[in-house]
Amino acid sequence: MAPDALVGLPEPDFSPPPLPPGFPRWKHFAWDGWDLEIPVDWDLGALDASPKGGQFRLDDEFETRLMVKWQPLRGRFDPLKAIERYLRGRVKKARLTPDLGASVPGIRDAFKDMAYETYTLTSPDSPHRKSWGVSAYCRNCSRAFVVEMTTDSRAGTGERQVARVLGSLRDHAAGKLARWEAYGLSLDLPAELRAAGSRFTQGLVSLTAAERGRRVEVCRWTLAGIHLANSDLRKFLTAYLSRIRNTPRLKIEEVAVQSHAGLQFHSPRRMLDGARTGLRKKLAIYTPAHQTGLLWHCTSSNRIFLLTLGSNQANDIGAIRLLASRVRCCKVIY
Amino acid sequence: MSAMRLKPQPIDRRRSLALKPVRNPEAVWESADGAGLVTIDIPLQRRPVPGPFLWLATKLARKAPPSSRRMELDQVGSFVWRAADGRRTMREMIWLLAAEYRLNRKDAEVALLEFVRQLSARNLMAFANTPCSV
Repeated sequence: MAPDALVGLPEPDFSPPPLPPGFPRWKHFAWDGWDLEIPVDWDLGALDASPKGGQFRLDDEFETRLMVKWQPLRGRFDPLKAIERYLRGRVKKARLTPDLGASVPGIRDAFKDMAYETYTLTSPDSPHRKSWGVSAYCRNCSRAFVVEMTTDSRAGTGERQVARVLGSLRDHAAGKLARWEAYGLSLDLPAELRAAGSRFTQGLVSLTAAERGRRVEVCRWTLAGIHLANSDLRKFLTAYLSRIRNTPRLKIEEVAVQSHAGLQFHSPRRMLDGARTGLRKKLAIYTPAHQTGLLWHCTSSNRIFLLTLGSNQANDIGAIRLLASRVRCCKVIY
Repeated sequence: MSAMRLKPQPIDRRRSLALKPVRNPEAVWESADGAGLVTIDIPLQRRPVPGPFLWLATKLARKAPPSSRRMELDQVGSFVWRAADGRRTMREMIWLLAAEYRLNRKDAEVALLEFVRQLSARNLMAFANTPCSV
């Protein structure tokens, strides 16, 4: 090895991601009603969602590419004011030049039922970068939001990418099911369930969605072969549940889930369950009283999935089976 | 003095991911069938011990002190070790790892950076800015 090779740093790399042959170029990001198509090298960088509003940020390998901020709105919506509020402080600090009403490609169909206004941002300090923004209000879900995407001509991203990403943006589920997809976890959940929590750690991704009296948690682990090298599914499940506080004693049985080996678990029936449920309703206690779950190892995608349903019905096997059938486990999503 | 108080400049990610990890050519390694788990022999650096003490230690232990330590890599580690041939950039290796083990890009990146950091701390891996071969 030449000693010179180890001195100094190489030039910045602006080439497109070096995807191996056969690798998909695009994927979905979907969360809490939001759904859009994004390049495969983008991932969730930040997320903050609550009933009072929220935001998420999508980053590529090097920098932030897309930002969405939303909040429920009941009164009159003025898109220009929303843009001014969103850009306040940023324009002066980063020496940005806004162009309100500028053309943003590809959004006409996606935003046809909404009141919206567009803008672009440029800066003399970085002429190769351009931000494309839309402020809109959706009458169906009463959400006002601002979405902003940044392109960099050095990295070969431009209007075509903006048209594809912003053109695919949906801010609420069209039917009874809503898609959730992030970090390779993809499933459909009933549209009435809202985001109630998430966890993104290395190898483990979990999302929790809930409504009154019902709570669904989905976890996925990658590198299942390594997790199960010196263990089996039962040991894996027991170890996972033992780390959660206040887990009731659960009955565990072997089952097949989407034709994969798996385990089913549920909290045991108790005496006077019907009366207890009625009493909880009367007292407006919405914390689910029973847990039912499925754990399975998908050999096609080399992942482990855990689906837990908290409800007021003991041993709710039918509901959990239906939810499990909507997890896209065999499809390898990056 | 003022130069000593300067904070180290953060390295641009675009530059750092363009580096090419390369195995220490001095490291002796083997894998069972050419594609299995990798085992690396790490030479132990010892302080020079005076002859009589070394003789006494050998007599007491009834064997010579080991001159190297074996490190067995797991599946993913073995894959990364083989891929670090000085020709691929960090960025290429991240995507390669993601494709091989069906990982999300971020999962692959975190795992790879941590593993490469551990190997470079043990002088088993270095980074080149131009292609090189080992």
